[in-house]
This record gives sequence, structure tokens and C-alpha cells, in this order.
Amino acid sequence: MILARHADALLWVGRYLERTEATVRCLDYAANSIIHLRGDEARVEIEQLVKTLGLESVAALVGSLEGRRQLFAFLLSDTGNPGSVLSAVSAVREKLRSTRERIPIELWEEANGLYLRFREFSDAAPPPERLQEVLLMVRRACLAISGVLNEGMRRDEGYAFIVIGRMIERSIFTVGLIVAGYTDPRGTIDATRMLRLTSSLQAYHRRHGHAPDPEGAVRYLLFATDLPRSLQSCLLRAEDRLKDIGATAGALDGSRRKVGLLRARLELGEIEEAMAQAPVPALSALHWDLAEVASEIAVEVVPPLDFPTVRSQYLRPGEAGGLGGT
Amino acid sequence: MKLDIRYRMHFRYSEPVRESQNEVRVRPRDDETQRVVSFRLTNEPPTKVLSAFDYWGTAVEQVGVRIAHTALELTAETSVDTLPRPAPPPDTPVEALADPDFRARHFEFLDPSPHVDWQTGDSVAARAAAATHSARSVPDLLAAVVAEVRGALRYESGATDIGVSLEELLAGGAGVCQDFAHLAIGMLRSVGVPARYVSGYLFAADETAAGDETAEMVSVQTHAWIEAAVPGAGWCAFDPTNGGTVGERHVVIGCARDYGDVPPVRGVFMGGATAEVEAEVVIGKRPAVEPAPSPGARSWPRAVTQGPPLGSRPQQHQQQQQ
Amino acid sequence: MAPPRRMYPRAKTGAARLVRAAPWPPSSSMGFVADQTPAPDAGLLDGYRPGPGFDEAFEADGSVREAYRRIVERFSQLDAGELRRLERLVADEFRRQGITFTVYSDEEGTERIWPMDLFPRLIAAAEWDELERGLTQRVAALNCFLEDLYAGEGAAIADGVVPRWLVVSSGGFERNAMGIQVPHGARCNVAGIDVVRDGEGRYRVLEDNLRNPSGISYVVENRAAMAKACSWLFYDHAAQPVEQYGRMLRSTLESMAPGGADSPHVVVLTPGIFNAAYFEHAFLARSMGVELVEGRDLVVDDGTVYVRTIEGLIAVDVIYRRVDDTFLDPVVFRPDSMLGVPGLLGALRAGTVTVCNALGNGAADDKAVYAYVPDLIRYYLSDEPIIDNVPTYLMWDPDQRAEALGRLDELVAKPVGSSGGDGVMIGPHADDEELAAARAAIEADPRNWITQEVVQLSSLPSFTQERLEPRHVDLRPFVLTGERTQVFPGGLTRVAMRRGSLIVNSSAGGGSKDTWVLAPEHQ
Repeated sequence: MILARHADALLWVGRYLERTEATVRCLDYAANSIIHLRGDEARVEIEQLVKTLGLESVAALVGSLEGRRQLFAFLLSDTGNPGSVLSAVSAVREKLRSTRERIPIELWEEANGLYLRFREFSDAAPPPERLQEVLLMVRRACLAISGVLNEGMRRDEGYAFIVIGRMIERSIFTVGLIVAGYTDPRGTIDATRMLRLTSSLQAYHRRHGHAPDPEGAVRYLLFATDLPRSLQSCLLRAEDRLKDIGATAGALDGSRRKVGLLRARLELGEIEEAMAQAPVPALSALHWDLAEVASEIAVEVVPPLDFPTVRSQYLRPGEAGGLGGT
Repeated sequence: MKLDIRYRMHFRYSEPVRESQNEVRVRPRDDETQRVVSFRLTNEPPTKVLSAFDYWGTAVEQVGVRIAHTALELTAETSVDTLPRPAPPPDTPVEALADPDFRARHFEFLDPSPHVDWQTGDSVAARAAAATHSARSVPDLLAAVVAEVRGALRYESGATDIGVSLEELLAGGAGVCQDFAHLAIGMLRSVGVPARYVSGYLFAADETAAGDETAEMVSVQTHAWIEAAVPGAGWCAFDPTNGGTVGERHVVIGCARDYGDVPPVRGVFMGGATAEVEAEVVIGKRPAVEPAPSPGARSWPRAVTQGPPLGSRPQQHQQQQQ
Repeated sequence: MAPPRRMYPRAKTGAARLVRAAPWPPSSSMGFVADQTPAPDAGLLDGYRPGPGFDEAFEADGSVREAYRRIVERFSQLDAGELRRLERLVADEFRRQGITFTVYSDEEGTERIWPMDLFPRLIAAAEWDELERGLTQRVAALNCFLEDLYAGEGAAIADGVVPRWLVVSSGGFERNAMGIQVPHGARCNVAGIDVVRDGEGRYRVLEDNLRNPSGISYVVENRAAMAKACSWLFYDHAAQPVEQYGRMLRSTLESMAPGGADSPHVVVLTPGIFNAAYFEHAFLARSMGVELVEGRDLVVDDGTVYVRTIEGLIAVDVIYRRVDDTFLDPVVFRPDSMLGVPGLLGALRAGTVTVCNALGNGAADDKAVYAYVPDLIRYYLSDEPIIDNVPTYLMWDPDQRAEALGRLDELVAKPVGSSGGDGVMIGPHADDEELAAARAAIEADPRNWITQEVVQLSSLPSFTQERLEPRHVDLRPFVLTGERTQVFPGGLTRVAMRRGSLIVNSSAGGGSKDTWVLAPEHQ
């Protein structure tokens, strides 16, 4: 048995963990790439990164992100940005805190430690030269958390929800990255960049033995069965965990069917076919389908509301009665 | 007097609401002045209704509706026999009120309570003191307070809402039966008379003029009046709203410190909806023959509660009230 | 707990090595030359002078009490640097695990690391035996009183043992609890009884905590931290384990299921992660292996309480709630509170669920009612109290008031409903202004004040960063009642941080100590 609120919280733990890693990879990439670019080139690259992370609308709110420093602050420690590392790390900590009695103590300790260390850095406003240090720290902490998850957590519903959250977030990021790549205003699809941002470059080299071409990179990211980050692998894992939940709790059948359908369309080449005809609409539709899956899971979990509206009602003698405030 | 009372409460919401939970205090008390022949509460949507007695001895029906709904209807049907009330209190001198034992026994009805707090300002106690300073006996004192309340307030529907303070009431000069009762209780307590709030039904077309009622069937709202403890005579009832005595036309639901202890309905629900509330009490004299089943009786299964569920509780509470 | 030496093999540091490892503190006031290697019998405890009152570890003539002989030996072999290192180790461990408490000194609470002093408190088996019997007796009488009050005939009141008005006017008396039945008549399922030792070393009850006593998680965590940092201390003692609390509490709560359900569904209800005691709530749920729920996780349908899971609604039998009475049900109490569960009170009246502790227990831990507990023990159990109260005067009584106000500078004045030392005035330590303020407060609202004789709390060696000095302590043992009553071995020892101070509350800067109840065979 798992509380609906806990299921929801752990789903978001998975998503925020994945988001932390993705943002850190983007920051790492940016730190290494932008220094070689001219001012206008850097601006385009920054825009692309923000788009890849799905943060266009948030970025629009904070104004222009022209320089490196601004981009780093935005992605690293801007509390107004729900996708910043600080926001994600805080969210992971808070969600784990609220599910504390059902997760391994070590998982809480690692997440709490990451949050505390990160706060130390961000409170001290890290100068750019310490950026690599922060990123390394976060990356290591994420690895430690993954280690506890994989080796120290009972394979119960809670574990399943964390994995599902990760897989969903990862799928959305990967497809979002490819969409952004196809619509790059610079007119070229940068295959190396895509593989770097998904930590898949090395794996691609070992598998294919040559420099990546755009089509090969996209196919690899979507369909590779040997790559745990590929969309195919992610959907398969999400589907397996949803099956576990169906078996133990008899719940989330709708979500499992939706994921299964998507995975089957991928396997049967249906999506590849659509991409051959018109890649951008096909990929956008895929991106949309994944978002649908995420919302279907939320609907089936039915977590209680954070701040439900409660109203009071009463009758009084002499008159009919009335309603109280919330 | 044999009376049939039908109390219909209807809440209609602007959008679906969920998880409504309500306490309903509409079942008349069963005691030496009135006998409940039958009682049932039906609700729509139909759910299980739980019954219990609260600290004050009032029957509480708990009605909850978890599923989404856009209306909640409660209907309480009671047949009750009321008996003539005891004679008016003897000429107890006011000095008897100061007896420490008497005060200790009634201290809950001497202290301020949430809806009856005369200590937030000076005017309530001052007016009560001025009105009663010449009273030598407790009945005189009670009459003086009722007269003072009737002089201070005029009956006006919609002039007040729950949560109005006694000071605001006096300043506004208008209210409904509940406000008359609260002000009278505040004044009585401020001059050392234990006083309590009574929630109930009144068989009269106009609650401000209960005396000259001739109708056989009336459509009204629930009513509120007061009781004061008189040394040597127990609780004596008064109706400050109409200035009259309390008799066979008054049906008691419960007595407590103030409205907050005996509201007819109190509840919460989830959802941001606005609601319209309709409530209506229909009271009539019961025909000598047993009534046939009401033609409006519905066929679907519904929860029905009848009679007191816990044998020992009412008795214990009656003891406490003596 | 398994024998500690098996658990943490890395802490095999012998005492001799510890002495060598750290620098000697440069304090010359203690009469040492800085570079001198200390003799084994000179060190942290050198010059230890027990203050007025009873010292737990030392006799009045300065000799070590038998129970503390080996502990004192061990500590004599340490130096301040080593103890500081161990303290840091413990603090780091607490920080890493998030073992904190919240201090509400200003608008927003600040989280502090739970402070633990490394010199443990020891309770000899015979001494504990008497405490255990006294606490069992006291909690039994308190349960009888509450059951009589809310579900019985009010016999104690009718027979004039306690005045009715006093009970009913208590801030903790809950009219809405009237008539709610509980299994076994057990209403104080978890009681925390604060006891102190007076100048002669006699235990006395300072106050009863019958609503939501907290602190048990710190008892267990203190022991775990102690076992990690100072496993060598346990080598020559057989301290009764404390890690079984979760199992004990769970079986107590399971015995409270309505109608004796077979495998009852127990949950812990917390106000949420922003509550000061959230750490403890999570600890309790985890150590019992049950769900930690918030109000919004529960819903009432047809008079039954359910928890919302991904599988739908699952019925709940027992709620161990750490939410105050007046937040439990917005229908009855505060419509604006979402910490509770709408309709819960109706379910309680219907008897489909048990809430632990029961509603309205505050009527019995009101400090003005506390004064009557010895009488209640005599009344319900026909027994003399094994543990006495501290001599207490009721300020509503004109004679007692007049006498107390005449010598207020010798007494302690307490508001009856407070906890955590709030509003307490200690006469001998108060200035004229504070005395006048207390006098005015008592005269304005005598029902809500008591005065007590000052109890010179017992003291224990405690670390000041330089050496071990006497600091006053109290003790909060935990008593569990379900089908039967059990006293949990030990309890939370709280320690004042300043010399001579009688304030031990952690919110007032107090610390804590691991508390060992020694096994009988050890004596």
C-alpha cells in the first residue's frame, strides 16, 4: 500500500532528480562551449539551451539572459526558476522529507547532504571559477543518490514511482532536445551537442566507431536498446514499473496502457516512418504524447490537494443560514 | 400539545463540491416537558447518518457526503407531545443568587462564552445594571432584563450574521431571535444570573408575536430563546424575541452556553463553490389518527435514524442539567 | 539493541589512545602545566564540586557513587580535546540525519542541531524498579480519572475528590470528548511524566504530559549516537536497550483498535513537514513500520475513516495523532484548519476508529488538577502514591494564595496550561520586577496559576568544552498504556546548560543526555 500523496511525491522526486542531472549537464556543456563563442553566437547558444530545458517561458520572465554569468545564475540558483538546480534539489529534499518514513534513511541523508552543501555554495554566490566544483559536487551526489536507490531501496511501489518519474522526465528531456536540435536557428543539426547533452557521446562512439551524423544520433537517442538513456529504454522501464504497480496494487492501468502503446509504436517503426515524412511535427507529437502520459499518471494517482479549498456552511435560527469563508 | 414538525434544509452549490461533513442538531429533546413520539432524518444524496448525544445532552446527527454533489438536502421529521410548562418562578430574593454553591454549580452559565462575551466593552453590563438595580426578586430582575433587551433591539431579518459581538448588536439595534437571546444571556450573566441559550421550534406564524397564534399549520424558521437558573426553582424559560412566556408551543432541541454549542447545522465541504441555502420549518397540530405514510416518500434506500441510540446517555445528561 | 561493541567495529579506540590523541587544554586555572601528561586520575573531573542538592554521580563527601564508578573512571582518562572531537562527531551525525528541533524565539523558527552531552545518566536497577512502579501507578490513576470523566459517571467529581468547576474550567477539558468510548479505558496511551530528584535524592513528579508528549525519538537517537561515538563506554555496563520503542508503541496502538480488529491498520497523523516535531513523527512511523499521514490523506465516509492510496480508500483503525485536539476536526473546532479530518469526531462518537491519545486529556495534565493526582491515586487505587508531587499550592484557594503571595520570592510560580517552561517564574532567581509581574498575574487570574516549593534538581557531570561540571537535570520517562501499561526503560534526561540554572528545556538552550537503565544482573 502506498499513500496517494507519497506516490505523487516520489514521482516528483524521480522527476526532479533527473532534472537536476539534466540541468547540470547543460551547465557543464555551456561552461565548456560558450567560452569559445562570439557574443552573438553565445546568445543563440544560450537560447537553445534554455529551449532544450523547456524553460523559455520562465526565462522570459527574468528578462534577457545575455551573459554567461546570468545564465549560470539562472540555471544554478535562481529560486524563481523551478528548473534551477537549487529549486530541483530543494524539491527533492522536501518531497523526500515528506515521505521520510518509507524511504531508506541513506536516501534522505544523501539528498539532505546535497541540499545543505549546495546551499553553502549558492549562499556564497559561487564565482564562475568555482562552477566546475559545484557541478562536480552535484553530479557526485546524484550518483550517490542513484546508488542508494538502486542498491538500498526495497523494490516496492515507492521505488517504482521514483523510477517512473525519472523515466518520464528523461524521455521528455531527450525528445525536447531533439526537437530543439531540429529547429535550431543556425540551420544545422549538431549531433555531437545532442549526444553530449545526454551523456551519450562515448556510448555512440563505441557502438558506431565514427563521428556522429545527425540522423544517426537521433536514431540512437530514440531507438537504441543498448543505451539506458534512449527513449525506447526509458519507456520500457517505465512500463515495467507500471506493471509492478498493477500487480501489487491493481492501480494505474490507464497509464500503463498509454506507455505501452507509445512503446509499441516506437518498436513497430510507426514513429520512424512519421519522422521520415515530416520530422518536426512527428517529434512534436511525440513530445506531446509524453506530456499526456505524465498527466495521465497524475490523474490516476489522485494525490490530495496541497491547499484544498474548505468552506463552512451553517444554519442559524430566525434566518436560513449561510456560508463561511475558506 | 401534539405537534408534527418538518424541517427541510437545502444547500445548492454553484459547482460540484465534495467531502461534505455536517453536524445536525434538529432532534427535539426528550424530557419531562416534552416527549418525542418519532423522529427521522433523511438526506439526499443518501448516506449513513450517525447519531450521538453531545456534552449538553443534545442529539447530534452526523451527515457526510463524500462524492461530488451540487445539492444537499436534509429533512427532519418529528412528532412531539409538549406538556404545560411549570408555574412561573417563586419570589426568590436576588441575594440568593450570590450563594457560592449555586454559583459553583452553574459556573459554565455565568462565564462569558464565545458568542456571549459582554466583557469586550462596557455598555452591556452597564445597561443591565441600570435596568435591574431596583429589582428585589429574581423574577423582577428577569422581567427587567427581557424588557431592556426588547427596548434595545428591533426584529430585523438579515441585520446580523453569526459572529456579531454583543457590543455591535447594541450599536446596531436590530437582529433576529438568536441576537435577542444572546443579548439577554449576556445581560443576565453580567448581573450574576446563570443563563443559557435554547435552540428549538416555535409553533407561531410570527416569532415576534407568539401569544395570539390561531393557525393550524405554519411555515417558519427555527427559533431561539433563553433559560435562567433561579435559586430553588431550577431553569425558567423566557422568550425575549416576543416578550412572552415559553409554553406548549415551544419545542426544545437543546440548551447550552450559546448558539455555538447548538447550531442546527454546522459543516464544511471541499470546493470553491458558492452556495444558496434554503431552510423551512413547517409545524402543525397532529391529527388524532395516525398519519398515513407521506405521499412524498421516496423508493430508493436511504438512511433513517429513529429514537435515541444510546440508552444511558440522555439520562446522564438530564442529571447534569438539573 | 544488540551489544554495541558488535555494531561499530571502527570505534575500538581504547581509553589510553584517546588520552594520547588530543592536546591538553591550556587552561592553567586547573593547576596543570600545559605540556604535562595528565595522570589517569586527574583531568576532566578534577575539581568537580557538586552544587547544592543531590548529585547523581558523587556522594556529598566527593566519593563516586557505585553505579557511576566505571563511567567516572573512563571519563577521567579523557581530555577536553578528545571530548570536543567526539561531540563534533555526534553533532555531525545529527546534522547529517537532520535530527534537529525548532526554536520559536522569533517569528520564524530556527532549526538547531539536537544537543547531547556525552556524560550519560545511569539509573541503577533497584532505583528504576521503584520509579517504574510509581509511574505505572500514577498513569493508571490518571487513566481512571479521564475515563471516569469522559465515559463514566464522574464518580471522582461526585465524591468531591476534585471540584467539578476546576476540571470543567480547565483549558484542556474537551466537551466534544464527552461520551467517546475507548478500548480498555486507556486514554493516556503515551504519557510523558517529568520527574526530578529533590535535595535528598527522592524522585518527585514535576508535571504530567498526557496530550502529545514528545522526545522519545531523541531518546533512541541519543543512544544510537552514543553507541557510535563512545562504544567503549558500553563495554563495562549492561544498559537496557531502547531501540524496541517502535515495536512497543505499535503493539500498544494495535491493542487500541475498536472491536479488537485482527491486524489493525495503524497510522501516525502529523501536522506536516513544517511542524517542529516532524522529525519525531517520521521517526515514529518508520520505527513502527506504518504510514505517516497528514489530515488531507484521510477522509471520512459513512462514519469510517479511510486513507487515500493509489489503490483507493483503505479503512483505518487506529490514529496515533500528533495534532492538537482543536485541530482534529474542522467541523467541530476550527473551520479554517486543514490539519485535521472533517467528520473525524463523528467517527469517534460512532466508535469506528480510535484516536490516541484520546481527546481531552489536557483536563488531567492541567497543573491545578496535577495537585489532586495523589488524591486520585488514593481514590481509584486505594493506594499511597509511590512517587510524590512537588509541594504545590493552588492559587484559586484564597488561603493558599495569601500564604504563597507572602513568600513568593521563595516559590516557583507556573501558569497551569503551559508547557516547555513558558511563563514560569522562579522566585529565588527573580528580580523585584519579575516578582511583581507574577503577583499581578496570579491576582488577575488565580484559577490559572499554581505555586510550588523550589526543588533543587539533582546534578550530573556535564561537559563545558573545558571540563565536566555539575549541571541540573530532570527526566521524562515514557509510559505506554493499551491493553496493559508498560514503562519504557529510561527516558529523556534534559540538562541545564548554565551552572545553577534550573531551566532544562531545549527551547531554552538546554541539552540532553543518554539515559541508561542498568540491567539487574549488573548490580
